Amino acid sequence: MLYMHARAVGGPTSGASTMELVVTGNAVRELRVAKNLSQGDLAAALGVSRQTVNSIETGRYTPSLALSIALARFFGTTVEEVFHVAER
Amino acid sequence: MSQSDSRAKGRGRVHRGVFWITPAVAVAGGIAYLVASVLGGHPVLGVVLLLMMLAFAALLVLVAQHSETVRGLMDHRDERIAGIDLRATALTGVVLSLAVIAGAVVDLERGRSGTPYTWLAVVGGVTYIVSVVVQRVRQ
Repeated sequence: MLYMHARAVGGPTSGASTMELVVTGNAVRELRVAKNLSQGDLAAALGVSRQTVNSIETGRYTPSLALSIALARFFGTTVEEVFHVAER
Repeated sequence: MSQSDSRAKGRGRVHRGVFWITPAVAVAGGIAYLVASVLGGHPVLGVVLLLMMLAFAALLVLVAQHSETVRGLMDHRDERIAGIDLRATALTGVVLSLAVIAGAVVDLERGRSGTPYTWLAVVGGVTYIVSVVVQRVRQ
C-alpha cells in the first residue's frame, strides 16, 4: 500500500468538507506485463530510470501528476485506472 | 517538427547541459585552487588539488555511464532521483548549519569573535529567507 496522501480542502467560502485521498496501490506492473514490456522498456518510454519504474510498481514511490498522466497515456487508460485511491 | 517534439528536443538539450554542471564546477574549483595556491606560494599543492578535482570530475562522468542513480543526480531527468537529490541537499544544509552554529558557539566560548562562523550563519540564514520569498512568489 502506498502512503501518499492528497488532501483537497474547500476554500474558506465554499463550505466544502476536507477530502483526504490515499493511494492504496497501482496496476503498473500488471499493465506492463500485459504489454510484454520489461521495466527497462517502460523506463525508456517514459524517460525515467528503471529503478524509478521498480519503485512505482512496488509502491515505494508515488510519481508526480505529470508522470502519472504519462503512465496512463502510455497504457491508453486513465490515471485512476492505473493508481488506486481510497478516501480516508 | 511538432511543437511537442520541439519542446522534447529542448528538454534534451537542457538535460545534457545540466549533466555537465557538476563536473564543470569541479574543474573550475580545481583551477581556482591552482591559481590560489600559486598566488599563495604553494604551486605543487595547487597542481595536486587540480589533479584531484579533475579526477573527481572524470570519475563522475565515468560512473554516470553505468549508474542510473549517479546519472540521474547529474542530469535531473528522473523526477524520483531529482527528489532524492533535493532532500539530500536539504539534509546537507541542515547538518552544515548545525556545524556552523556549533563552530560559532565554541569560538565565542573561547573568547574569540566567532568569525567566520557567524558570517557563514548570516549567509545561510539570508539565503534561506530569500529562497523562501522567491519560491513563495513563484508558486
